[in-house]
Amino acid sequence: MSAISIKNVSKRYSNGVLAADGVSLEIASGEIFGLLGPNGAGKTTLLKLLTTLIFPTSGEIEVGGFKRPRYDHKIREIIGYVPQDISSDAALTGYENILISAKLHGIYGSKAVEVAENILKRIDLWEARNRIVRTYSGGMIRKLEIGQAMVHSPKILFLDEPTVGLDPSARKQVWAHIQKLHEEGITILMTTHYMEEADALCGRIAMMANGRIAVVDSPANLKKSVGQGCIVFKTAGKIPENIGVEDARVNGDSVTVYCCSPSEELPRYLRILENAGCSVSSVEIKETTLDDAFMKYVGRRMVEMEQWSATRRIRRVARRLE
Amino acid sequence: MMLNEIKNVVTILELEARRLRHDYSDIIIRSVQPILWLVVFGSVFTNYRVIPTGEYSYLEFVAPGILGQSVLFVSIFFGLMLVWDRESGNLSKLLVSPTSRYTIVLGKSLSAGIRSIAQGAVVILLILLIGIRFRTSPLLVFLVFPAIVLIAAVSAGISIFFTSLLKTRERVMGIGQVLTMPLFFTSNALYPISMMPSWLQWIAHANPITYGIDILRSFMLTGDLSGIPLDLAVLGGYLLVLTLVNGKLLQRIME
Repeated sequence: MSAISIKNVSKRYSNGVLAADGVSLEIASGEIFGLLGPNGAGKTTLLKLLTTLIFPTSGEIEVGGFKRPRYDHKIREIIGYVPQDISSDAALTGYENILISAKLHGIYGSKAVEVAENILKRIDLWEARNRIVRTYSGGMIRKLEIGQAMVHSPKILFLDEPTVGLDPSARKQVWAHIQKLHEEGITILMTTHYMEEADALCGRIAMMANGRIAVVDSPANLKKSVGQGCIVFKTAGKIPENIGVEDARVNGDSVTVYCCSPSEELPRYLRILENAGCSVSSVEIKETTLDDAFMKYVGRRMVEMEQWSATRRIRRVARRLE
Repeated sequence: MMLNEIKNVVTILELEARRLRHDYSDIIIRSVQPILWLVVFGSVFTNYRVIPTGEYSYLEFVAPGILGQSVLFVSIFFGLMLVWDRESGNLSKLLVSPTSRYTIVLGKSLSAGIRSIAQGAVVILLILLIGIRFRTSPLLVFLVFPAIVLIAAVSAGISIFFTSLLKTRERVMGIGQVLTMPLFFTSNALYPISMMPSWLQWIAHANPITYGIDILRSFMLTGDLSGIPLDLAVLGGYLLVLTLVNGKLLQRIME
């Protein structure tokens, strides 16, 4: 059964911006699905449409088998949502934040306390539970927010840019936590504008730009569809006429070799070059990235498409998370 | 269903109470203004008897007005904060929970009452420190607190209404001033309605703050309860209409 089904959905805001333009998408139960695209591509709009925050201008949306807008109240009972902006209350402790979330989901009294304590242990914030959230690090806040979204054991979890503004180690921690939730069988739909993040976490991704979905597939397939990566060897001294590698391109003091998985084939090519009398001084590996795939399907690089207003928003979130 | 929504209102109030417990510094900072009104403005006007307040001194007359003003100021900014960043994570998280839009709006309006009770207690303390004595019974003075909650909820409702019409952060910046000052000066806080020119009297009679301050003045000063049913009906009516309208608007501001 699909957890999420979107048919030909469009959303035009009152200011005229067409943020979703005929989007169709099926996401299966238990999937970890990523919406990848530059800021302003329409990812957050799609998430708001699915979490019942806004209404579509046209098209059909079903979440967990419930149709919008008739069953919005049912949808709200089975979803968890972590918005891009900070949603934990900075003036309360971590424990209080989860307790209030539990109560808003109809869990009261000793049951609420029990749920809060369990979640704090699961997200590794037990030690920090009585500290005011304002003193938390960005990574801790994100984990707390995910914890708050989990109080009612939702079937589907929506994460909007879960690691925006986080330093690399905090990002890894949040990734591990999302991975754990995925292993517990929760359907996860996340947006990101970080290619490494989509690559590392998502089983399938949809590349979005200008309110449309350009392509949907697994990261591996998308990269494969672009073609090969390459290895660039810089050499000191003369490069012999015949180096024994088919397809190698010699350009000045560098030799470029195209292959499917550069990092694995590097040692072999290195041996061949050295045997041919090349003295290799440095090596650069260029793996195919999702950005190359994005270039292929959307026609532009992701960084070129960042919008000023969206970037400003992201910066604001990042600043608050610091 | 109904019971759940009441529980949700209580949860939203609990959230505000916990917030206040952790950080009450703004209550202290906000006490500066009532001190100025009472000590400077009130004293000068008491000495010169420019405003006819009958058997009461001007300070006695204005004290409930200043209390009402403190409540108004706290609540206007409170409602503003709720919607001024319409994409704030706090609000979206509330909206995604199985809590009705009307419950959220009512809960947030009444939350302004929680903060106002604390503010009101400080102002009442100040009033006593300055040497103004309440002429009514302790029970009536105690009833000032539920009255404060009602005034606060209506004020917060008004600010949620105007803020949600404006939508963007930039536009909302100045609205606090644009709302509070007219509501304050067109009410009976500083002078009796009978002193106003007739066009202003019309406005004063439509201004919910007038009815709120009338309750405070009855409970703190005159002990005359004959106007209370009308005051309660008007404020209750405002709260009901604002909750219904704001519940609808809350959806609109997300769009």
